[in-house]
Amino acid sequence: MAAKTILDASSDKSILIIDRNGPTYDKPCGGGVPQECIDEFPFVGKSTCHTTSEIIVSHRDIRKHFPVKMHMIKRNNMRTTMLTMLIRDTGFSCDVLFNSIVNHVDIYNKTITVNNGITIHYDWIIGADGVNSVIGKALGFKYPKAIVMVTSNQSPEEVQRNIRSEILFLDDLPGGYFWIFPKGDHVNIGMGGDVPGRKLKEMFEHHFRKLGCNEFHTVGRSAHLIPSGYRYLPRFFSSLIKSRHVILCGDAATFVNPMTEEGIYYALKSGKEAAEVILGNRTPKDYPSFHAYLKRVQKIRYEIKDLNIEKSFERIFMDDNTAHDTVKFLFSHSIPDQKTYSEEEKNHIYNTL
Amino acid sequence: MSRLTKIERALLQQEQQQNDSLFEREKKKRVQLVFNKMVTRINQEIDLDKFKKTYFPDEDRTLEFLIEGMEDLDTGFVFEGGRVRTIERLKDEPTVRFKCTEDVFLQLATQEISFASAFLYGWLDITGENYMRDYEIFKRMFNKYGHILKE
Repeated sequence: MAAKTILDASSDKSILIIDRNGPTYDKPCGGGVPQECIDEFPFVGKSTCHTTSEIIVSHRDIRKHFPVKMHMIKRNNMRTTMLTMLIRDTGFSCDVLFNSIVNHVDIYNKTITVNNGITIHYDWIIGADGVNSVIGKALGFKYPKAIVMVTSNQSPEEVQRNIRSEILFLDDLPGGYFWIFPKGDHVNIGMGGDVPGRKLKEMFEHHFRKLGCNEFHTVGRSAHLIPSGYRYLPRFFSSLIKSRHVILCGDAATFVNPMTEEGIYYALKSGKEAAEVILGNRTPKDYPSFHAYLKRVQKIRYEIKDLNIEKSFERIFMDDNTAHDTVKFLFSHSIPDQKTYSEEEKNHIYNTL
Repeated sequence: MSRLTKIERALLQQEQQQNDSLFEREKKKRVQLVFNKMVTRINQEIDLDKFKKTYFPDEDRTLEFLIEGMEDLDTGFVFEGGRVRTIERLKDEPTVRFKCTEDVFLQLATQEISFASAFLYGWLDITGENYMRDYEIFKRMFNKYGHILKE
């Protein structure tokens, strides 16, 4: 996203993308993006395999329906679309090095060393290499990690038609949830939370069977790491952006919603905004634009951490209006501006109290 | 929670009242009335024994709700002896303090935003221990009894 934004604005820049995977790599994940992601990045809509008009949130025997429009996407389709768009729209002015890993970053001399031994000099470097970012680690960034288990399952056509996007909060899974998302030709089932990997795997198998998912045919299974908590420090990183010309994006910068674990939208948006910083259209301290929102969500997570999942769920969802407001906030990706009343308006309101 | 001495508080209250314009005084009178009406309503309509058992079975709670510029008002609730009364700022030591701007209070009072939304947006400054329980109480006040603001 960053490469395209830069090349769209200025064709004289030379860009090299170093990708640890091949061009057809697929990463299984929940893969749901909100409507505003499609509005802002219309090409993502081409990778949508299913759109839900509501999300069901459940805990024990409570099931609540929320009118949240989510677009389920296939990651390999999105990746292919982005690569095609980048190469086609920018007139082949961007180089891509597939199956290559950055082994070392020297932020003082502005060089990177790739696994084939080649050392490359850069003017700017964008680290979008996930939760164990080599670039992030070179900056001393610590990653809070959580493991996510994901399976792809084929179910009978009749079942497939009736499956709806569902998020389940479980008593034994603090700070996480189990999900079942329809993906058009298959069902994506996963689980993530603040428990050690081996235990998470056991719990996943247990709930997978308990919910009857083992009746579906599993066609793929994987586990991967995501950031567990938002840790970005704008003041610290803005000085590095200015002095060392290094920017972190997506999971590498912990740009993941601490409550919903959604990260695709933030990855795209931060890529675009990183390019704007490089082009001089955004100041480093205004990067990322969604900092206040993610910081607030992280704080809420800390605030309810002392309560176990059962209690926090019941407190939020015992009241329909609160539940609606909470879900709306978690899928809104922003905090509205505070309203300021004029003296005249205040006067009017007080007269009606 | 850092506290002013009783004398300091009394002096601050006196100074603020002296500086208030007629409009300010009228405004504060109305806000105070709203909180007093809430107390009456809570005592009439909430099963306080059940409420206490649910949220704070082993203690009394003193909830202070500060509105910027109106800190001298007795805006808050004291839950004690199975009843609720209005906080007395000079006497009661709060166990939790919620603070918001006048604009946020007006948005709550006109029910333009819910108490939950104000909390989620970070527009309520909350200090004190175990405040998620107290948050529940205020939320109920504004969500269930917010309509009395308009009566």
